[in-house]
Amino acid sequence: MEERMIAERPRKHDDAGDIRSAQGGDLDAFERLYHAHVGSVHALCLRMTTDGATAEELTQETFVRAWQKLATYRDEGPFCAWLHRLAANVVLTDMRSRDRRGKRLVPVSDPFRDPPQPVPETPNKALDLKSALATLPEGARAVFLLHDVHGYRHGEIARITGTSPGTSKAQLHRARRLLREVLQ
Amino acid sequence: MSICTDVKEWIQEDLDGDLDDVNRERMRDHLKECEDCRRFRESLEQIVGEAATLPLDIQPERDLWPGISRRIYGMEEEEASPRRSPGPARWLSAAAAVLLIGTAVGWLLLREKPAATLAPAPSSGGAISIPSAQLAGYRSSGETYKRANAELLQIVQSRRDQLTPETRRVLDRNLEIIAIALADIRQALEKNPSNPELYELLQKTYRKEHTLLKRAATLPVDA
Repeated sequence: MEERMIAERPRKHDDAGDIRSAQGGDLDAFERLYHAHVGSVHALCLRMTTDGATAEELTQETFVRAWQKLATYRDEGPFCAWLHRLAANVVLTDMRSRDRRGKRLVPVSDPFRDPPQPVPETPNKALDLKSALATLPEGARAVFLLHDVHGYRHGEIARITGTSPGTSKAQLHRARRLLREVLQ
Repeated sequence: MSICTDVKEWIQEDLDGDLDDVNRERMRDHLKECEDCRRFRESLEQIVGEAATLPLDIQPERDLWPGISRRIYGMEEEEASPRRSPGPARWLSAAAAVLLIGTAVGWLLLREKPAATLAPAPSSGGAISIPSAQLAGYRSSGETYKRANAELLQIVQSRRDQLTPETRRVLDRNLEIIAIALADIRQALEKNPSNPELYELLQKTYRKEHTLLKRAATLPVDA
């Protein structure tokens, strides 16, 4: 599949000047960067978490981390891609942390914390792709979103997720097979 | 393993752009005669095609910037604290940090011209003026911390019996030190309400209290 380059989307905002200013401590410039990219970061967080409130919380966390790490940003690629890497890391770390907390503190099932995922009642009852994504296991969903929606390659996804390119590929293929079953 | 299993894997690799020429040729030959694998390929192509058309921008329902800027204001303190598991020793270092804040308040009060080197000399002479937007930001952030810390304190009180006596002792000692520091800073602000350094100290101390209470509220029950 051809990479879907997020940088190719036309953006009116000139990142470079604001990045330099923000790296020098200019919070107004960072606010402009926030407004230019919040939709893109939030879209990734929302699809990875499938929960609006959590997505907003993690979008916020992503921008706080971006401010902290801004000095490490070099002009080696689109700023939005750099933000996406941060966002994916933030979401995956949160998922692992929730997993651990769940195992330690919530020994019984909690229907409010883990709402049942929408599974079609019959194979012919088709869902749209957005709803079907919510039925995927978290790891497979993350890789599918990063690869097929946002256009990252397996090597990059492996770095983000802390796995190997082979694991990323296996997760992607699993995700597509599961989506196919749900969507049929 | 049947050839269909291999071909379905090749189909996926082809969609990724990773399939070599030899296997692509074998896949094409197989697809000419296998209806099941053709349907598999069509449905995956549809999924991948649809995924590529999903909107890349989804705006959050509310403006997240106020929360982000509040956290950035309090970030220096956050970065200064190592992210290790909490324990009495860590909490004592929190107390030491707050003691330093208290010392800084004393130092600021003793200085004749507290912030003269940090801001341009005001036209009215003597007093330092903070831009009204910045002052509003400090106050709003302070109120937010106060509310959040009050809620956290309730949670901590409700699970106090679950903490070990040693943890309770360290917690109480730290909260006491922070309360003294907060009182000192507020008192200093009454005398010099335009001093930005005092507002920053107040923010840092609220943040310290917040971090401490959050740790206490989320400690495992046997801590």
